Formats: sequence, structure tokens, C-alpha cells
Amino acid sequence: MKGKVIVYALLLIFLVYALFPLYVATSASLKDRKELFLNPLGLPSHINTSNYVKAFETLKKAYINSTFLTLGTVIGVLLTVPPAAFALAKMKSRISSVLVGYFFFCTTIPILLSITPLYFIFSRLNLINSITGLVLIYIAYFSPFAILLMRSYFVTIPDELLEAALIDGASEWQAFWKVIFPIARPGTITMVVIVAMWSWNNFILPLTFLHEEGKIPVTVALAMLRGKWSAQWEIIMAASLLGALPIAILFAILHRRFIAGLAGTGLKG
Amino acid sequence: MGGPTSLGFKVQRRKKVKNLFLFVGPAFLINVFIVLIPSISTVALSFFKWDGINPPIFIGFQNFKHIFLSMDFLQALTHNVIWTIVFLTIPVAMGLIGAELLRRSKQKFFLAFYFFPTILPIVVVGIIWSKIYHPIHGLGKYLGIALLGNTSTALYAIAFANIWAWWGFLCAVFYSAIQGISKDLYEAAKLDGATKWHEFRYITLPGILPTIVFMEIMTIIWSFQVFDWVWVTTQGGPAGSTELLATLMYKKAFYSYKVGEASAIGTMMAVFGMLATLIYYYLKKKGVEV
Repeated sequence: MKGKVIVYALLLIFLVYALFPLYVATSASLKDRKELFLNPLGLPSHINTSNYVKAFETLKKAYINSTFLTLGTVIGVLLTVPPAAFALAKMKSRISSVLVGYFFFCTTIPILLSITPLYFIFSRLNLINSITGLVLIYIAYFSPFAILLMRSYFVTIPDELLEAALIDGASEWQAFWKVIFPIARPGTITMVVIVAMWSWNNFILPLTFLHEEGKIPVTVALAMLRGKWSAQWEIIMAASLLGALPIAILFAILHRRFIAGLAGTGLKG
Repeated sequence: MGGPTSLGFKVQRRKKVKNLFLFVGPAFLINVFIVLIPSISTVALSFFKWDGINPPIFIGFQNFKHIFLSMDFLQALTHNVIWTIVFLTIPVAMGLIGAELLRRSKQKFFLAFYFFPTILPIVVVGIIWSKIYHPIHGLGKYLGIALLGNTSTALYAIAFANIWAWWGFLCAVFYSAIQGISKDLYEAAKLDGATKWHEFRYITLPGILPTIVFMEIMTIIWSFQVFDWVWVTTQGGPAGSTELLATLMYKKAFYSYKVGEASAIGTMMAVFGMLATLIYYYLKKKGVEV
């Protein structure tokens, strides 16, 4: 009995710890300047949403840009990742195992190792300040993990399914999209959710490849807010929470997939 | 039905390779052009002097010699080592404790809350913690110290914020690994009168050791890549006290146009990561169950 109480007490302490910064941000975002100054960490005396209105006005364009970036990347990985993952799971050969090793290696090398030459290549190709260009970069960086993740789902699909589809006279390519891809829907959703989160959250890549103010996504816009509204923390907090909101909503609906996809042990080794 | 003739076999193999290329080709080619070729270029550029505009000049190992003799690189490297040590210990311990508590209480409900901070944009979390530490608008008001503005505390303050947004990930990884341990083991231990500590020490810990080792290796790799956390909170300041290899490299490449030096730093970052991978394979080969 005593042991149980201690276990729950510790779990609650971790819970408070996990929620405390979010409480600080939310309470600050609801205060006006004077109240925030007098009482920076306490509860707001009344609910005041004007900070959110101001924050949204400033972030509107960035929100649209982040949405395009995320949607573009998701469409890109939906077209390229599932077939690649399937082939690496089911078309066993020496080449495919080398490729699996290659993609695993890619997940461990730093973005910074490639970013400088890539910047010069992209400026030659006139792809700086291009959202499409950045979508390509996102697809390239996020697909190794996405491929390994989906591959671990395809491995569990029995070979007989594909063979049955092939008997109908379809090519492997058609059989894949018509038969296998629909079956792999849980794996696909998990992969898409993670890629969408990474696309929305990424900072260093848009910081480097998008400079025009009309092109920058939410993350870069938020980092610039502190220069713009140097000490207006109530608005900065409202903007930050708005910036995280789409991901928070996605997580509220699909948290099991996030946890299984990112923390499941399927990728180990 | 005879076995495949040599010709038939060749045709089949060619078809197989063609299919593999059709399926993997698009993802692979995008990756080669955007990740592989530029990465190799960085390693190559680390042997050149280049400002990004004029033709590069080959200078051998001069960039490496230069960075290893310069204070800013050594300082950043030291910070990365401190960062790695902090992350190899504190969040791993927190994650283990959290996972074991979840196992014992069977209240998986907490896990989603612990995990939530890890999926938020680092920019958002970094800004929120800057507010928490703020000397006028945050805890600093009560502590009487600007944690991010003080050279002796800033690095740890950023690491502390990062731990908040990281330990829940390890907790979920360890909890998921614990699910793979046979429940019978715990039952048997209970019958033998084992204490809760014994369950953790002799069943949980050895049961998930391979996962712990793997996460420690990944921690080393990731610790040498940290960028966003510092960039949104202090940009390396005050007085370089939070400069990491990644931020130093970024500044050299894009602000001081020393592409060669920046590339040498980037190459070193990759080398440290690869050393960690080598340790992993060494441990695996030595028969440690990882």
C-alpha cells in the first residue's frame, strides 16, 4: 500500500514537471503587459484573448507557408517512401541490404554535414527562397527514417498476399499500390504523422533556405518575433502556443501512433 | 520442370534489379543528390580554403590544424562533451524511473503527457523556457539570477530545458522495451519474495539493457548535432559560453564565409558520430547482448 502511494506520487511529480512550462506559457499568454510584469508566473486574473488575436495576425502568412511545406512533404513521402520501404522488405538481394544499411547510416549523419554545399548548389539552381525546393530537401532528409519505419511494417505482411496479387496478371508495381499499400495503412498513417510533425517543426533548414519574409514558416517567424516584440512576452507566448497548436492537436488525436512510431523498438538494430 | 536455365536466371535477376530500382529509385536518388553528394562535398571542402565565391584553394590539413589550435573550437567541443555527459546520465535515469513506475502502476495514461513535450517544435519550447528563465518575466525574478545571461549557468540552463523535452521520449522507448519482457519473470520473482527493487535490478534492467545501450549510443550521436536549442535561446552567448560545434560551424559557414573551416568542423562532428557507431558495433561483436 505504502509502495503504491509512492509510485503514484512520483508519477504525479513527473506529470506536474511535464505540464509546468505549458502552464507558464498559457498563463502568460492570457495576461496583459502590466499583469505579466507584476505577477509573471501566477494564474491570470481574467481571461484576455487579445494577445492571441495580435499573434495570429503576425503569424498568418507563416502559417500558410508551414501548411504548404508540410502538405508538400507529406505528398512527396507518400509517393516515394512506401514503395521503397516495400522493396527493401520483400525484394531481398545484396543491393537491398546495402540500401537498408545506407538509409540507417543517413539517419545518423548530421544535417550540418550537408547544409553548406547544399546551400551553394541551391543558390546556383535558383532554389533559395523556394518552398518547393525546401520540400525536396525535407523529403530527402526525412525519408530514410520513414523508409525504415514503414519497412518494419511491410516485413510483417505475408509474402502470399503479393503472390496472390501477382497471379491476377498485375505487375509488381500495380500489385503493390492496389493490394499491399491499402493493407499497410496503419504504418502509412504513423509514417505520415511523424513526417508532418518534422516538417512543421523544422527550424535550421528554413532558416538557411528561406530568407524572404513572405516565405518563412512558423518556426523561423517565431524565432524572429523576439527581435520584433523584444519584451512583449505575453504576445510571444501566445504566438508560440499557436505555433505548436497544429502538432498538439495531431498528437491529441494520434498520440499512440506518435509513440509507437518514434519510440517503438521496431527500428533498433 | 527443370531449374532455371542460366539465361532465364539472368533475365529474372535483371527484372529483379529493375523492379528494385523502380521502387527504391525515386527516394534513393533524391537522397543522393540532397544528402549524400553534399555530405561528401563537405568532407572534401574541409581540405580547401574557400569563401563561397572565389575558386577554392587546396590546403591539405590546414583547416583541421587551425580549428584544433583555436580557442572557439576547443571551447565548443568541450561544451559538446559536457552536453553528452549530461544527456548520457540524467534523462536516461529519469526515463528508466518513469518507465519502471509506469510498469508497476500499469497507468499507461501518464505516458502520453510525458511524451507530449518531445513532439513540440524546439523553437516553441526554447522560447517558453527563455521566458521561464527570464530575470524580469520569469523565475529569474525570484531567484535573482539571469540563468541564460550568466556564463557559468547558461549551458546548463539550456540543457535543463532540453531534458524537459527529451526524457519523455526515453521513458516511452524504455517502457516499450519493458513490454517485451515476459510477465512470467515478474510473477516468479514475486513468488520468490523479491522486492520491487530486485524486480527492477534483476529483471527490468537486464531485460532492456540492449535498448539502453542503443539509446546511449544514439545520445552520443545526437549530442554532437544540437543546434536549434542554442540558436533560439542564446545563439552561443554570453561570451561563447553556450557555443556548440553546430552553432560555431553555422556561423563560420554563413556569417564569416569561412567555408573550409566550417566544413572541417562539420567533418569532425560526423567523425564523433561515427566513432559512437563503431563503439556500438564493437560492443555487439564482443558479444555484449545489444
